[in-house]
Amino acid sequence: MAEALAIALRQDAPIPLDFRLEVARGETVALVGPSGAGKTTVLRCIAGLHRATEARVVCNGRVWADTAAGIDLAARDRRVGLVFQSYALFPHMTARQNVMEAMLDIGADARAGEAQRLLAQMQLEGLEDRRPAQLSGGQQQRVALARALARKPNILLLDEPFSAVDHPTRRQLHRSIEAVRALSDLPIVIVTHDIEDAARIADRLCLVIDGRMVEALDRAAFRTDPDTQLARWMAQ
Amino acid sequence: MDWQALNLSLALGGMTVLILMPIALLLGRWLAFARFRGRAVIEALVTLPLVLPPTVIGFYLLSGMGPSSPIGRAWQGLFGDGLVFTFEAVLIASVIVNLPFAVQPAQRAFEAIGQDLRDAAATCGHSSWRCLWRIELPLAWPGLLTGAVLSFAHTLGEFGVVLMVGGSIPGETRTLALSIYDRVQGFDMQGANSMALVLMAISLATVSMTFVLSQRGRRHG
Repeated sequence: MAEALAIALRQDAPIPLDFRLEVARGETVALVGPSGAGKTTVLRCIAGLHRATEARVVCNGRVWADTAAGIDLAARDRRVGLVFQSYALFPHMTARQNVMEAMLDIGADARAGEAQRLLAQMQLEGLEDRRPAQLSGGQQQRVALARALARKPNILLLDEPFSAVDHPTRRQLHRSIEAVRALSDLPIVIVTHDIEDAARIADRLCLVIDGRMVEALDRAAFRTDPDTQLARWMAQ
Repeated sequence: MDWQALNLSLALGGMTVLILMPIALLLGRWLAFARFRGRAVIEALVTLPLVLPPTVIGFYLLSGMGPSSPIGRAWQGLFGDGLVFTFEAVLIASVIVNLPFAVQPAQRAFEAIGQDLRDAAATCGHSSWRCLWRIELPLAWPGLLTGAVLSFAHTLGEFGVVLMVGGSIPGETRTLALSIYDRVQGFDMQGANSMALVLMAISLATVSMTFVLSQRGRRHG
């Protein structure tokens, strides 16, 4: 598989990071680890929402950040689809308007139809005109996923998508992510502290502790090898 | 009823709000989101008119805009007349005195918008201006409206600073509040009472409007 994303990050504060990661096109990578390990900070560095002291982020051959060369592309220019842990839906807009807000580079006439298609893909038909406060947590999450995909991103980032959702919502989200994977070769990075969910949908699991990747395993190896740091961390 | 003073007060209130709101929007947003050394000093300076006696502010404004001050001399050079004891001087003073009434509600309203929402707007491809227009203003408008109405109502009732900077020149700087004072000085209690009632009714109506619109904004926001 061709490499779609390569990152190298280093900083001492506020959260120490010394982190490298390559993600192939079509690959889903899960960053797992304890709270405060720096997983979300890695996502924010990829998205351009946080500047590490030393950073190099290359996506599809384009340099998004290179502190040595003085390159730091703004978040709005990176074309990243990010599903926030809080969903971060615009509360004064309907589900459809939220998705349309991420379609600034297509014609105004085409936006509503495209938003409708994405919401239907997330099985949200009939809820397009509801505001976030009128939707359940799982529905809000799927609107956030539709919005993240609306910009035709280079990479999809999901921050703790399985926290604070019940089992039916988790299953629904698994299906939604599987649908995204089936329809595109988008590289996906998921941050989670739930290793079971990570093992269900990710091709590769990376254990992050204190800002460092201490182990990376593909799903099969994680399933079959009981003597791994991931397995030991999971047993804690 | 001193209609001239009422018209002057309404004009002063309206123009103060028109000049003040863009300043409050930009300053309030900057103070809400920017992190820099010395921010507390700027916040304190903005708040100062709330705690200083109007005569103190009036004294410094009078000195700062007087004929021997750089601002006063520049004004004289540009327009041929002095700045103090004019409507323009009262307007400048009014904008400065009302800064905390407009900036603080704006700042709180912007602070209430979560960082996640602004980050989400950035990942959606929004420029800073588009984020302001599409995300921040629709969420912050009740705070901005509160600031505008408070400033307007406070301007109608402002006395000390207007007297210090503008005197009480009919048709130029004599506002309704000053006219009430003059009527009381002249033992015209009935005239003072009718004007005081008008001032109170306008203030009550504008403040009530803020609450109604803010509640509506929260319901639909």
